[in-house]
Amino acid sequence: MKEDKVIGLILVAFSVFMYVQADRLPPAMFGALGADLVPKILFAVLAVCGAALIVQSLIGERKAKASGADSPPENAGGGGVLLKTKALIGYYQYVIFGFLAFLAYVILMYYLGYPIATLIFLPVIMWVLGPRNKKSVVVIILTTLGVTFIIYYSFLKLLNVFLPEGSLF
Amino acid sequence: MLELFALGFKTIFQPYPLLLLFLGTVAGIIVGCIPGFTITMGAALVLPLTFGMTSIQGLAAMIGVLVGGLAGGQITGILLGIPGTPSSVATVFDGHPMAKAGEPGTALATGTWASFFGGLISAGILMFFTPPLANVALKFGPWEFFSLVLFGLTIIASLSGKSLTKGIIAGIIGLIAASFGTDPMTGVPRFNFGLNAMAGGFSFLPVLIGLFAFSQLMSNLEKKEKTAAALIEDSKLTFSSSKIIKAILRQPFNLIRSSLIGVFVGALPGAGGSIACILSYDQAKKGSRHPEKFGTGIIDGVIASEAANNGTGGGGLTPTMALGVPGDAVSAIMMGALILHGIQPGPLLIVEFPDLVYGVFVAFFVAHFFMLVLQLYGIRLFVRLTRVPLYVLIPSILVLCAVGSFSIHNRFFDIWVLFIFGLLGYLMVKFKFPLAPAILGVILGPIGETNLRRALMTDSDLTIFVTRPISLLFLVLALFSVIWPFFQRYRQKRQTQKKSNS
Repeated sequence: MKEDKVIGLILVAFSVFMYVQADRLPPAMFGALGADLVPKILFAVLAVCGAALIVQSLIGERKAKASGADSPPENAGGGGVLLKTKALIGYYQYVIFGFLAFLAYVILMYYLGYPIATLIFLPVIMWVLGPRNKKSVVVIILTTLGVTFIIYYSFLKLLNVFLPEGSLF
Repeated sequence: MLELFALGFKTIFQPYPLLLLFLGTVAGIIVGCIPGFTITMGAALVLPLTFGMTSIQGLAAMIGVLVGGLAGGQITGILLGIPGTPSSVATVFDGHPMAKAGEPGTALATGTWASFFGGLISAGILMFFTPPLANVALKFGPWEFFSLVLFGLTIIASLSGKSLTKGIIAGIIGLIAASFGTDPMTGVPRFNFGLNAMAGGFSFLPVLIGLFAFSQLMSNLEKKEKTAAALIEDSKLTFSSSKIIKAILRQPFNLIRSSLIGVFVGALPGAGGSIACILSYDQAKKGSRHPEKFGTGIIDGVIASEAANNGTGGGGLTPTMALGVPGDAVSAIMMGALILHGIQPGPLLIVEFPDLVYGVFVAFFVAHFFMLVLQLYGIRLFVRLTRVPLYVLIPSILVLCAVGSFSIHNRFFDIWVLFIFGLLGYLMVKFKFPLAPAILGVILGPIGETNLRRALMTDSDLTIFVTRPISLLFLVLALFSVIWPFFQRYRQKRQTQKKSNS
């Protein structure tokens, strides 16, 4: 896979950065047995694996070229990058929306608390994802109220667990 | 021995644990039969709920999810040809043709009874092998434990994906996530980047829910389908249990072999139901007197696949209960539930908490009866549930993920952890990194680190790891599991070369 090269590079960079961080941990009382030992081993192995991923990806590309099977017509046609990005966003539009909606939900919950944030989040995301008709409006309203209060009640009363109350209140 | 089983019965046969076991089984069948929802996801979602329960109640609920999920995957597999979980992939081969030939009821009932028998056989093995295994493990020192953890991680890395490199990277990511926060040995804070909230590191609950549930929900948003499953006619779901039991028992060899394959594969870290059902289907075909009929809709195939995947349940629990090293992602989450309750899994568990360990055995056994009754008589209900539209299901579960992550420590930071690891998990799946090694890494990280450093503190001599025979055995196995994929590729290459030469 082509992306593997990039992922490998990111992994190597991340490992080097984190290795330096681990090196700054306070030294141990017993020689090499400090808090830094295991993280250092892990980041070293991760760096090696990242490098291996890059090498494997390069070998794979060379083989693909040698066998004449040039990468499929991804690069064919001018201005492909823009079209490709558009197609990708099209395919992943709901996923991207899902992550952003959840992000907004978390921020709302931080300020407004669980009940209000959920009463906003659920209908909005269901409205975007679901079909737009009278039946689904009823379904959305009922699910929103049902889920919000069942979770609220069961966590608070049955499981004695607190829910975010919101920093504004 | 007997009084210990009696103790287990006494622990489970109380109203609350029985109720939770039952509800867990219902939940398991539901996550099992909805394609795109996995058993691991179900277990990860139940995990925060167990916080408000006692440890045995929490475990009972999770065992219900495990058993129900392993059996529930066949429902959509048989009726739609889409396996509800990867563990039912091979059930589709013969189950779906049977349904198309007008016998969906017979196919489902055969699968359910085969799951039941497979589960009972694996429950028997779980009960009789765990105590002696734990007994052996009691003599383990930190060297053996470290080598065992290493073996567990390497074998899951090599078995769970196509690329060994990616498997190892996934495992390391899990280990690294676990290494943030306070050092288990000296109490030194690690990688908090000056943030107060990071002092305790990432708590593993939002990490697990993020990696396994959140990311999965997001993957489901890619598809254009509005419901998880299309309409199914449920008029033909009739069957005769007595005939089916007779038909299954007429193939004792197939049933027992498949169950044992399931148990064995399940006990290997990393290899779970999906590998077990295909392996056992393959063996059943090879051992059959009429292999050509496989794939056309015969019960032999359904029996092989379903007996094997429920067999993996007991197989996976055996090392978890005996050694504290989980055999698969679901038992890793169960270990997480124990750790949440302040109980350290390991060989001492059976000595210190016999009620808990034997309670788990009994719960696993009883869950199969619940599953049997639920799936034989409640099948129409579950079929209807698969029609709940995804646009309702996914947002509701997202809310549950957020609340569940928050509830353990009442820390808002944990919801951010959930989001970050959800994103990481989604990207890992997209770029074909297996998730199972990561989850094992998160759970095994602290155990491995503590034992490595304890070993080195006792004696800084590294050769002890290879001079102690059991430790050496695990290290050799670990090495073998790393080399094995290369060897296999080499052999395949030679075979194809031979073919092209001749």
